[in-house]
Amino acid sequence: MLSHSPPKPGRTRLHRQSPKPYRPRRRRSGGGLKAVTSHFDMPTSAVAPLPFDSFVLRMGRISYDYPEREEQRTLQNEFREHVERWKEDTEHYSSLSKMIMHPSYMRIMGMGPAALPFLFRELKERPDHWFVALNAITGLDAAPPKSTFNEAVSAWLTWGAKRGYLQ
Amino acid sequence: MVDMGCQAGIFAIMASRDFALERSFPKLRTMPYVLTSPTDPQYNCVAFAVGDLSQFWYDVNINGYYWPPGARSADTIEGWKDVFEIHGYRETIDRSLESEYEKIAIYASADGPEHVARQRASGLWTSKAGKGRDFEHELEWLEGDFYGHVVKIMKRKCQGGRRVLE
Repeated sequence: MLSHSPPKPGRTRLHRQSPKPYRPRRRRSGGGLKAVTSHFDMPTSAVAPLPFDSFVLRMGRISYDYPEREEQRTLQNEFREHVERWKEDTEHYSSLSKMIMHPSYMRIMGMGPAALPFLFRELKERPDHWFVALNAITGLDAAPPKSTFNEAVSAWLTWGAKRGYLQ
Repeated sequence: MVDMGCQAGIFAIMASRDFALERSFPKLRTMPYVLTSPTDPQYNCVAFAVGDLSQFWYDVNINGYYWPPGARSADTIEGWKDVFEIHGYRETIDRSLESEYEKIAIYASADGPEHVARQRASGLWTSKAGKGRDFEHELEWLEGDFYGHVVKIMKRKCQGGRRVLE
């Protein structure tokens, strides 16, 4: 920023001020940022206040954060990790008891209804023995009696699609 | 062209091995086992041993599974023995090939029954590894930490002179 000292006759003197970084003013009480004021002398009424919940200053850049979406992504990541671990560890099990007692399968059941969209997508893309988990979470058995594995998969996918768990 | 041939050879070698199988059964790493199917969660070793490729044989109160009526729990060796007795098998101590008989071998660990293999007309044994692949092997190649050891051999006369799935 340049400022001018009063010019002396015959000579113009320029004084460069060291640039000051932009820093939003923080409120000490109540936490978070309510509004941003410019370093420059601008009336605060000219700056629109930003809602606290959607405004986070990170790494010197302004970005928007949606807590619900972040939580969904975290659960999906966790689900995926547990699925891969379960598939790898139980591929050669003939015992359904051992399959469902695996810690990752138990964790997936523990996710409850939030896991249903992921479970149905997994069942559609890579059919596997998710019937016990689906039964435990939904409280019902969508497969008809005496159904084969493929028939049970089909019945569950139909049930899931009707309830909007499959896009 | 030489490069393509080498690559094709490497792919053929890789396709003839299942590294997941070798992780579970280390003895297979140095043995000439033969893969005979892709991975399929539809059926398990018990189903495969009796010739059923459409159902997962297990004793559970959820639809999508099958267990013969009258057989005891699938978590017990007695339950697995019941399944094969229902299908005409009787216990024997002889695991060698007898041309007029088809045989099965049940593996078990301290946790209970783990696996069952079926003997082929060649004398080799064939197995469905859980939800994984079918493959041919010798009985000892699967013995170890994962499936335990062979605890029972059972045999029956070939039905109509033919073996299951042959």
